[in-house]
Amino acid sequence: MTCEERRDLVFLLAAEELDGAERDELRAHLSEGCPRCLGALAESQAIVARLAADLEPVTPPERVRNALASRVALESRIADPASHSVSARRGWARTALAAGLAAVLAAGATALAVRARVERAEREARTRSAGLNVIGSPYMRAIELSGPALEFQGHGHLYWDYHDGGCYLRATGLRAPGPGKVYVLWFTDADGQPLRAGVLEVSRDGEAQLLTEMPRTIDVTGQVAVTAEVDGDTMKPSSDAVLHGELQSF
Amino acid sequence: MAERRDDLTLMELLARRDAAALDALYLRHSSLVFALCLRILRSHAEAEEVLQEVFWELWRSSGRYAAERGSARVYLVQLARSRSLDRLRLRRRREALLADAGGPALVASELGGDARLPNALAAAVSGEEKLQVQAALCELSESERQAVTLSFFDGLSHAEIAAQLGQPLGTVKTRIRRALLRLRTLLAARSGGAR
Repeated sequence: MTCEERRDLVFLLAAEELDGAERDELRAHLSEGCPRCLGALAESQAIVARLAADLEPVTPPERVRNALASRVALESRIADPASHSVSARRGWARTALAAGLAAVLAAGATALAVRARVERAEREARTRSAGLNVIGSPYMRAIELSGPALEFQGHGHLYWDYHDGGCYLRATGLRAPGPGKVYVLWFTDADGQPLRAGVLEVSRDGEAQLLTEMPRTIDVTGQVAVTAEVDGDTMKPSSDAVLHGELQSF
Repeated sequence: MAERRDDLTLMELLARRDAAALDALYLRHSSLVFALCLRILRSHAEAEEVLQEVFWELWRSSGRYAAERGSARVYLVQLARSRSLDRLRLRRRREALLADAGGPALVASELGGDARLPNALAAAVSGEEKLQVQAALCELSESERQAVTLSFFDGLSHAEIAAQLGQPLGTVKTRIRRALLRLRTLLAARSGGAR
């Protein structure tokens, strides 16, 4: 088949009206980089896109634009937290200074402690990276989380990929959970009973994150909460929520 | 041409991770993309999701955008149509599963109401093109226009169109192809040749 003979097929491919062997053969040909057919494809795609001009434009709600802007800003902060805020840079400076002092003071410290720190940093980076996948999912829902009272200044979001069930929680401004305590994430089931979803990792500057799976028996209009618990494995919350949100709020 | 040139500038900025460029592209093209998503999905909620998904994908893939592949608008319309059709197929699979399980049908159309407010800028930009497309569609036969509308704008599969029109599958497929190829010729002629 010549490129001239492929011309109609290229247009049908652009219009997604080609399937089976015809589509596979043409894609294989295009993947070889045929300049004539690639040019025809670009031309065809432009014509197909023009068909959409027949539609009356519809202004989307402003919330879509806001959600997109939030997503972009969040991605930037997570991907490169040091370069996006003065406080973050100060945090980095403090961390670097602390690390330097620690290195002097802990000259005799064991290699084990250093290794634990490195492993923690690597784990946090992996969680952050996996969290980006949740945030980037087309099926992502963002649920806002906030402290219920002024004394709790924490704020964050739960990102839920409702297609594959992945959840990524990221919060800032959390105080240390207290001696011997950890922060635990909870959902509620259809009967309003708590469902434990995991323990948050909290950094020294109050940033917390958790990558987990959404429990299958959740109530999709139910509650999300974070509480401080002595026992990270407990199946029932024993204190007030430091962060709270509602799944239906998205 | 001015729009294309401006879009190219914005896409170059986008490749350098300029969020303001993304916002500008959104303001420029979102009403058309949203209209297309709505037309295919017939659901405001889903159309909003796909709209966000399309611009998010533009943001994530901006470094890989090749200008010679077409304008930002072509890219966005293609992406919007493709993602809307994907979503529609997913919804239909779910509906089929629910129907098999004897469950309730999913919520149908949410189309209409106050969100159908045309964006003046987008309307002005696309006004001339809209007339050209409408004129080209008018030159198709009634059966061709019906088939291509159901396929391109409503996202129906060939089998669904055949069932709806009471025509053999092969006839519908041939009719859609013929209609699309005629549209290509008509639109290329109306714009003074292919771009």
